[in-house]
Amino acid sequence: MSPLHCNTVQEALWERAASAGPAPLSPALVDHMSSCPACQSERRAVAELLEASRTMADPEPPQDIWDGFEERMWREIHGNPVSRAWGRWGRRVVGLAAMLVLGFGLGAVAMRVARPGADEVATAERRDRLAEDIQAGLANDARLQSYFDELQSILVAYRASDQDPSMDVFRRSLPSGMVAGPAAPSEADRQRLERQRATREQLRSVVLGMLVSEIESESHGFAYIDRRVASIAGQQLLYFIH
Amino acid sequence: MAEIAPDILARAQGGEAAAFDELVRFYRQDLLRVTYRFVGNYEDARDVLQLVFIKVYQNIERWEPRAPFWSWLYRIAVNESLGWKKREKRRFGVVTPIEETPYPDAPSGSASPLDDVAREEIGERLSQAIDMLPEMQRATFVLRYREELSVKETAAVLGCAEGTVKANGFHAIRRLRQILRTEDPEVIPNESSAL
Repeated sequence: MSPLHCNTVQEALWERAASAGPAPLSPALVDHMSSCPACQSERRAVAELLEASRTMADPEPPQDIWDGFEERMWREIHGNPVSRAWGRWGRRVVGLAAMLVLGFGLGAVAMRVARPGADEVATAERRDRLAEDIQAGLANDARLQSYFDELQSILVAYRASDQDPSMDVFRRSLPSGMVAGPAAPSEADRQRLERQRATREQLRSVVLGMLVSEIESESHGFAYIDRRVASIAGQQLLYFIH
Repeated sequence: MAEIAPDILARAQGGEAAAFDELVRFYRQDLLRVTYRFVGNYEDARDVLQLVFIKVYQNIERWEPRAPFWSWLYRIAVNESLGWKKREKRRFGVVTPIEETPYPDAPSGSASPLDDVAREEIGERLSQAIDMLPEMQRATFVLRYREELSVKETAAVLGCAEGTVKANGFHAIRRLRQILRTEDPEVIPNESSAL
């Protein structure tokens, strides 16, 4: 007998039976089986098993097996919520809806994750800049206002004490070309001051309106407006002084 | 397995009920045999077959002629049959025994009544042994050795590689040999057991 073990040979027989076609036995297997009754028997047994499987007949189906078969099938199909029509259109509708939901979902996520995030950052930065600009503008405005008030009180006091020798120091401190007004404000001066103040308030409102408009539109140009505020305030100051 | 005429198939795919009826009549006998070989009785086999054709109707548009139409039908029939067996096992905890399997096609003049009885018994034992195989081994064995499909065809029906079919076939044969040896050494002759 060949050195092959019976288990190996029998496994080879089962494998051969399960393979695509009847392959010839290898010389080693032939050699073993020629002298091994157990493996010869297993070979016959496997062959008979497969032959029995092939030739094993099924019982005849009942005569009435197909009675009403198609009718029941169609009834099931039409009664089934997943009918063909639904199956065809339903799948498309559900697919389309799923695509839309998915698309919107992805779009929303993308907007939040990508572009809106950048916009949010940019908006936040712009808002911060805007707040700083407004604060600076308001501080500037307040500073100008306090400057106006202080200057006005000085001028009034100066005119009231035109004859006061101690004011010579102040007069000399004024820039060249700047002249002192009448000793006491006349009614006309008072009205002119009122008009100037009203005009300044109007301008301030206009500028603030522009500022608000700029804020709302989130456009650039706060520096420009800031300069305009300073310019208008400066002109007002110069006008007042002259 | 024979293939239905392409024009009937195309009309059935287009939703024509008469064409689908024709398709059902063309394939139902072969598919009943397949479902019977899995579920073991004709009443259940017919019910499973109805599920098969309903599924075919609902999905026929998705079939693409890359593989033969019959192999697609076989696959649905095998899947539905295995699913039915699983449900039955869950519900009752047991599997319906295979019906008596006489040998109606045995040549009448070639065997004695005793031979017929012996064959009948062998067939019955073999059916029960096949029913004891794990799911994929049973499907492989039925398709390969009962339906006599090739390895390639079996792989196409089961949707697996040819190597998987061979491996499952090998394990099925080995397991059947063990079952038949243990349960009744005389059913499948095995001289080695006497040695």
